Amino acid sequence: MPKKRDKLQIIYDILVAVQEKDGRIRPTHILYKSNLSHQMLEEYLDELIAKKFLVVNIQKQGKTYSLTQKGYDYINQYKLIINFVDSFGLN
Amino acid sequence: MVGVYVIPNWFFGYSIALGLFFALVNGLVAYYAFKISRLTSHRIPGLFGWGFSLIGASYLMWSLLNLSLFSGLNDSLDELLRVTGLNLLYTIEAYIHLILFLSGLIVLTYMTLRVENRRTLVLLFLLVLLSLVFAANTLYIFYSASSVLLAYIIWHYALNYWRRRTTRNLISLLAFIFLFLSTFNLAFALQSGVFYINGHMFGLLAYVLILFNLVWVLRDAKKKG
Repeated sequence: MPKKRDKLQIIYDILVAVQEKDGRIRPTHILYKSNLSHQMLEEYLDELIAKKFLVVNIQKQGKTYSLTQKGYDYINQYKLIINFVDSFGLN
Repeated sequence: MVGVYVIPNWFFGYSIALGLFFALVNGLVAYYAFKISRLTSHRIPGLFGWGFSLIGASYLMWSLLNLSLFSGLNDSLDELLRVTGLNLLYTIEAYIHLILFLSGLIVLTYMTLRVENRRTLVLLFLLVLLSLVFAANTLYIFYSASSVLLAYIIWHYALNYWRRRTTRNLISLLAFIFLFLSTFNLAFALQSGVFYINGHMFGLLAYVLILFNLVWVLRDAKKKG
C-alpha cells in the first residue's frame, strides 16, 4: 500500500505538476497529476493561491494556474524543507 | 532575589565560551527554521525558529553577564560570588536571561502542542513568567518550570521517534534529553560547582547533537537526486 503523503509533499506534487506544464496548467491536469479528490484539490489550490505559491489566470479558454517565484523556490528547496522538518520533528 | 551559582574558578572562561557556542547553534537553527517558514508559509517552523532565537538570546545574555562579572574581578572569584549585594545591572541581566530562556521553551512547548489558538500561548507565558517574577526563590521556579516544559518537549520528540524510527529523529530526541539533564544539573549548581560543570557538559552534548543534525540536513539538501 503506498505511503500516505503529508501536506508538504502534496504541495510539492501540485507545484511540480504545474512546473512540468511549463509553469501554466489547467485545473483538470492538476487533478490528474496530483492524485487528489476534487474537493481536496480545490482546498489546496485556494491555500496555495492565498499563500502566493500560485496565481490563477482567467482567460476566454478557461482558468489556468501558474507558478510564482515562491512556488519555484519551494520546488528547488524541497529537499532542504523536508529534511529539516523531518529531522527536527516539525511535521 | 535571583540567587548565586557556585562556579569553579578554572571553569569560568569555559562557561562563557560554551554559552557563546550554545547561542551560535541556536542562532543557526533559528535561521534555517525561519527560512523554511518563509519557503512553506507554515507556522510550525516559524515557532521553532522563535523558540531557538529566544533560547539563543538567553545564552548570549548569560555569556555577557558572566563576562561582565569576570571583567570586574580582582583576585578571588569565589569571594566575589559570595557577595550578597549583587548590583542592579547584574540582577536585571540575570532576569533577562531567565525570561528569554523560559520564553523560548514556552514557544517550543506551544509548537509541540499543535494548537492553533494563540490564547494558549499567552496563557503559558502568563502562568510561567508571572510565577518567575513573583517567586521568593526565582531560580528554583526557573528550573522547575524549565524541567516541566522540557519534559513536554521530550514527550513530543519521543512520540515522533516512536512513529518514525530514523536516526535523525533519535538524535533530536537525545538532544532534548541532554538539554533536560543540563537544566536538572544546573538546578543543583546553587550548592555545588560540580553540578555547574555537569550542566554545561550535558548542554554541550545537546547542542553538538543539534548541530550535527543541522549539518546533516544541509549536506543532504545539497546532494542531487
